[in-house]
Amino acid sequence: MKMKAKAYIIIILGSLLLNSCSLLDVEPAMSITEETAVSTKADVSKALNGCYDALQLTGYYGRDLVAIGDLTADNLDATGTIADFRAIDLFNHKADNSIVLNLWAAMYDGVNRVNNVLYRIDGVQDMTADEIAAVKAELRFLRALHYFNLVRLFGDVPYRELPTLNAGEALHVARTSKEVVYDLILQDLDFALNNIPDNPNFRANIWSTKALLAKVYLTIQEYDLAYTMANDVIENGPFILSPNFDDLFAQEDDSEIIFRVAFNEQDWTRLAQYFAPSILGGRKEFWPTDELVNLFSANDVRLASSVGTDGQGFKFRDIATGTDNVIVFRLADMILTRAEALANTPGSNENDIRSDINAIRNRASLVNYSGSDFLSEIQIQRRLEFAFEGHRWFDLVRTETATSVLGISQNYTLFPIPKAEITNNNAINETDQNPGY
Amino acid sequence: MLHVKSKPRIMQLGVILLLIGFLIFPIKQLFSQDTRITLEMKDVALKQVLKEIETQSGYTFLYSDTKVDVAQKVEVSVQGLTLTEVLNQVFKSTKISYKIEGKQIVLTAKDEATRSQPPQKITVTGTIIDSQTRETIPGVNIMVKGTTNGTTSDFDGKYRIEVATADPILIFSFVGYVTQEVPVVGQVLIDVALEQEFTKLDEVVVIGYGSESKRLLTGSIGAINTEGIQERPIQSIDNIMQGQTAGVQITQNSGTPGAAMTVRIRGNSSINAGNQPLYVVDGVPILSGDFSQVSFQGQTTSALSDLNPNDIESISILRDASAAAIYGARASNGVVLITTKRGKTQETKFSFNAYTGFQQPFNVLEMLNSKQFLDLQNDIAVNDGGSPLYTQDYIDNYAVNTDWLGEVFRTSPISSAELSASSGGDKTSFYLSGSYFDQQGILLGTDFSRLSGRFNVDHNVNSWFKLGSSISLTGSMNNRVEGDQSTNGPLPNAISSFPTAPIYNDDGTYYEGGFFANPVAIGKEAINEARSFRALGNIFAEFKPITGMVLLTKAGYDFVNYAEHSFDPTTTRQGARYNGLGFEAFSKAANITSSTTLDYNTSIGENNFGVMVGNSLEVFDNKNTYVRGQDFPSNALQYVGSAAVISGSASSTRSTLLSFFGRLKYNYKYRYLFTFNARYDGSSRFGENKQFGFFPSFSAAWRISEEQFLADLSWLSEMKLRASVGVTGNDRIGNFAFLGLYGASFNYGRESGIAPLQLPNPDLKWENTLENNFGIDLGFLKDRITVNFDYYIKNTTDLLLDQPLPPSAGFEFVSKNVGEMQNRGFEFNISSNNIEGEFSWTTALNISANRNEVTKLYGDIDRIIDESRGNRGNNSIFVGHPIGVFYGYQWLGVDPSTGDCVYEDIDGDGEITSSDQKIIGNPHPKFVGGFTNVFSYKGITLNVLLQYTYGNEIYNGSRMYIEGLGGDDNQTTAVLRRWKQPGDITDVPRATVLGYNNNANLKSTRFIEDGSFLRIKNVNLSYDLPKSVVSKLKMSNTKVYLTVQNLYTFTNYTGMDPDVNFAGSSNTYIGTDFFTYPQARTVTIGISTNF
Repeated sequence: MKMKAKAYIIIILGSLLLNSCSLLDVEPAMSITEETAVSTKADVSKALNGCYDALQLTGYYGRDLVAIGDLTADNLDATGTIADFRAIDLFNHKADNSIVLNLWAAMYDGVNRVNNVLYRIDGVQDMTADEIAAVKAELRFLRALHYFNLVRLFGDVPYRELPTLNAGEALHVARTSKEVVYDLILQDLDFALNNIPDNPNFRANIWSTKALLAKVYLTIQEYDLAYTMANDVIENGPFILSPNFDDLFAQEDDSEIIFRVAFNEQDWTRLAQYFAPSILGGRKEFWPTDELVNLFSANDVRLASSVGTDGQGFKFRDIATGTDNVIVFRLADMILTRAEALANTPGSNENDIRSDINAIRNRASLVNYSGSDFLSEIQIQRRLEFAFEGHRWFDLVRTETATSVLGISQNYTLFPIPKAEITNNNAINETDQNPGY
Repeated sequence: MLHVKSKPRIMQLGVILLLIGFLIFPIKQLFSQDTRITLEMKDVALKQVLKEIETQSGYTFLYSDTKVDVAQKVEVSVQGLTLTEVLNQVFKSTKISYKIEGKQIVLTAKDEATRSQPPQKITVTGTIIDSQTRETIPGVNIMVKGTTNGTTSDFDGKYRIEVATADPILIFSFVGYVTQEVPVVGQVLIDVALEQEFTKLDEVVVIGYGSESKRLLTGSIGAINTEGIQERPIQSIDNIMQGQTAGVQITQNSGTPGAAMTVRIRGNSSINAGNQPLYVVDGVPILSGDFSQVSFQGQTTSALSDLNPNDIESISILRDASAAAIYGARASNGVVLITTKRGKTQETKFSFNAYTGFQQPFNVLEMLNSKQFLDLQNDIAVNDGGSPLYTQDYIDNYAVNTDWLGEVFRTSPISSAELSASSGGDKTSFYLSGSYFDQQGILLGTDFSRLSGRFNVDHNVNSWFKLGSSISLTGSMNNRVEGDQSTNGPLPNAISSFPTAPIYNDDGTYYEGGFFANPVAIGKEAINEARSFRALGNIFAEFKPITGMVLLTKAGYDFVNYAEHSFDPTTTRQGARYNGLGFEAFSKAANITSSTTLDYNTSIGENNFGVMVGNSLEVFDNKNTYVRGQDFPSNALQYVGSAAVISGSASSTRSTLLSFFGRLKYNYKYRYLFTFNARYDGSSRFGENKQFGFFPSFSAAWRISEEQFLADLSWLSEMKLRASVGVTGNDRIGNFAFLGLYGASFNYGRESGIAPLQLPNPDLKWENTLENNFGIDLGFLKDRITVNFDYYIKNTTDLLLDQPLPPSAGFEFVSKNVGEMQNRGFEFNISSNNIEGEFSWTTALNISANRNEVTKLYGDIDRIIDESRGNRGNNSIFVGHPIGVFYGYQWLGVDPSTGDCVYEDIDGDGEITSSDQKIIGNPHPKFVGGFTNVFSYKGITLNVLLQYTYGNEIYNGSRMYIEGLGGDDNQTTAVLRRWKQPGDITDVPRATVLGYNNNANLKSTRFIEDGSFLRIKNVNLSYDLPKSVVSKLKMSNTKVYLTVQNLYTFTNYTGMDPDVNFAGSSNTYIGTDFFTYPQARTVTIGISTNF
């Protein structure tokens, strides 16, 4: 019996050793480990989709960026329950404002996603150099767009070009001056210009790149270059002004749209809900200002398309399933950009400026412009044309008229760096905060 | 096998034999034979000499006056000789022979000795076994009575002894058994079956991977008394434990059938990881927790409700690190070891138990009736600058007065029936049971029923190889309703709905004109069925290759299949909004365990050793599927396949655990005891750098009562000091929290997309607890009174917290082990058989106190405040305070001149803003415990269990709405004492809806109440039918009983039930009442019998 016992013991102890440590490597079934996530061409394509997806975030084109463009300015009032929107409307927002944090976090989420793919794409084996360059072009377009929005809202911002791979020292990046940021934006867009592939209008292509360049140059007051780009898009691009203004927002005609963020039933935007009154099932967070409504002439076609019968902002209409487009660039924008560039360049041909302004006015069923204060007229047209599309604030700031038009101090032309960033980023302190907050 | 019963014998003049066995206590000798004696006596009676020797030596002489001549004159002159030498001298010329036995010296007359006939020499052999287990017992001491002739049984329980006295009697003795005396009347083969002798502390307690006598425990282990479980109308095993032993705090949370209870062993040790203990059934860790996918906004289900309490034989609670560390990375929250019933050696015995009864709500909120409500509306209108809305006439004649709570609460039945069979023989024994439990909830739309069966079998293939299995199958069905936080739940809606609203419209359809959906419609029409099928079992093989060694291999399988079917028809408001809303959810979870342990016990002299080594592997797998449909063509079609809009989801997760563990036990003379445990756990959840954790523990105990200086105190039967220190872990940290991950569902333009989801942390590991424990166990009057006391300090480090990152990094948080928490407390148990005899009374009292403190968060952060709407009491985390303290405003009362609430302006800025908040209450009790008394007279027994909690505060969140005096909810009758005019002094502000009465419903001390309570938790009155009556029916142990559960509660709490938490077993949201389903008073009668 003792021999048998020994045999048993040996067998069983031996079986204990057979348990190997590979048992402890369990792969998750609902997510992908980062080492292998971006390894093939197909992965890259999915990751690129993920980068575009960032544009849909609520803190970005999903709601907040579009909203504050008009809310801070004189186009919308905050009429709902979200206190932080009200604070922004009234210019007493502080660094702990949650909408400000949403904007910041969403844009940087976009930046991180792009940086992630840029970091890994060179290691992908089954793509040609051209294919890689094409994807990089789309990525750099997106990154340029994110930083363009960031720098316009916040001024000097931390510039990240590497992805966040762990919670280490690389987390703490200091603010970079906006001039340097603009240079880097232009670098990204130059690369995109040369490599970007053909794409439908909800993804980056040569025209959206040129449109973005036009706007960047206009913002940094490089009027010649702005003119060149805008002109290129207008003259060489496949876009025409949509004959029926309303069709743009009823989603019947996108011949004018250069770049939009696509939404559908699964990926939806709540903008319609936020504009609509409660009778229609909405939240009535934003409401057009009387001043804006009164600014429209009675026969301006744009009035009925922009302000609904109940008086609410009406460019976003799908309350139930949120499938509205959010238009980032459209031809009208390029036309007015070209006009503005010309108007700022001494020695430009006045007729060219007039024809651009009139193109917009005529489409809106208004008669030709007879005055000569082009810059002022351009701003008025921009305000009426792009009401509730998130342009007004940026237009006021870049033309340096925000303080006079809105009656605010210079400090408020920049948003505060969010408190969460200052607290958790060792390279940014309270003293680095934008003045006045 | 021959089985000779012993006949009790009265001890005669002669010797008291101290039994020296193989493994028992040494002989207690107060004096040694080496005492030196000096005598100088001449011409004195022997008797006097003997007296002198007695005085000097301390021994006593035993002899028969008639046979031994102690009157004879002797002479002795000795100086400093030993006793033996002296005796030899003294008796030299007498005809007396002596024999020293223990403390006595027996004298016999030499003549007598020589005159009697030379006795026959007989050789007696035999085998000694345990009468219960039928196992042989080595080391039994066999003595021939009246001699020093003895032997011990060998490893196979066999003995051989030569008997050479007249009328020999053999005495068989061994520690823990009743001594037997067997006369040798000619037989040469005497087999003996010894019966176990039990006192309370000789009980065997189940410990991690083994069992141990209570006397020899070095760790802190509580045992739950499982007697009478079957007579209590309880549905879940955590309910059994409430109030039964110190160190375990159980909050029932609500009266929802089948819902999870909060079980805390020595406090909360974690913020983000799990806080519930590890449950082990028959040596196999089981699935507990919530597998439901449909949210009911409040209480969660519990996989523990699938276990039949009646199958339980014993429950041990492993409290300190020494007891629990053998479970390593899962033991920080304590371990609950459950053992189910097995067959015993006996003829097949059937056992039947059934009870039935009813439940009712014992405390229902008093809401305003129509008249009072309309009065209130008038008040509001006037106070807000208008005129009364309703005339007195209108109010008096208002026809509708709906008692909503009366409509949704009901008296409901509860019943259970169970039949079990148990049998055991030499080879095979089994336990087979089937039971059915059915409980309709006191709230409309809720009920729980369960059908379960168990088959436990043990089979001895031969004397060293045993096979067995324990298998149970359970099916349960739980009808649920939304509750607590929902605006679609029957109870919250019934509390809040206006009394002026009717239940039905004139056409018989449900009235849906109020702000809240019709609660009766929801309770009656909404369908929410959760069906669970559970298979829990293990099979094992046990080998005993050599004596003292046991090799046990066990494979266990725990499989839960949870299927939910939910449908809201258009007759409910929610259903109407979606034109029918349905869900099907399937959750499948499996936990597979395989373990092997090798156990060896041996002794070398007085040194007793025990060694155990083992390993185990566990694999956990969970797959979920979920489908949702809306827009159904008809209420008769409830399944998602018929819906117009269908969406679905599925997911899967898995984790593995590989462990090596061991234990080393040593004791010297059963007096000085030492235990060392260690476990090495590797989990798939830990980061690459911290894959394995090591959890050692060490404990020592000193049984002072065995020391010589205390051994004689007959009233002190046990006094043991214990100390332990050890490390345990908490591995409930999420299956893939350490990995850098990309997630899916980042779709764009109708194409799928992926994006980074989580930052990696290769250093992510378990939360770690270092615990010190000091304890003392006392037994008095042969353990008639037993007392335990423990004091512990638990320091938990490496708490998993979401450390915020700069948002510009693209991630909000990273999970890191950074926080620290401490728990300190004491536990006290006393139980006593106060009166024994025909009338008996026993008492058991336990008290536990635990103090929890969060000692560190991350960086400089000293608080985490979550002001989400889901946090009703604003439970927050502050360094230096217990977890989950309430945070809000200090209410200073109602201003008699304005009728408005006044709050403390802490920062003195003249305004009440969010910076005027502070810590306003503590949901943790100062003491909890239970007090059980059992009275018994002849056949009647009364068992009363009191449960108490003292010093905890409850945030009565419901009152924010039902005493908020405005808006959409009906109010309680408390508002009848509201402020009406200047000068009124009251605690209820004036009626208004503007600005909610100057913040009348801010989260403040206004809603913090004392949650202390003393509850008569269980009263059981039973009558054992007399044996004479019952045996005629061939039955035994027949008893009828009446049980009342939750008979009465003494409390100052104004809500429905102070044993409450709206958020179920949440870690941080605790001690809060928010429209929570109260418990019921249950009255049942039952009968149980064996046959």
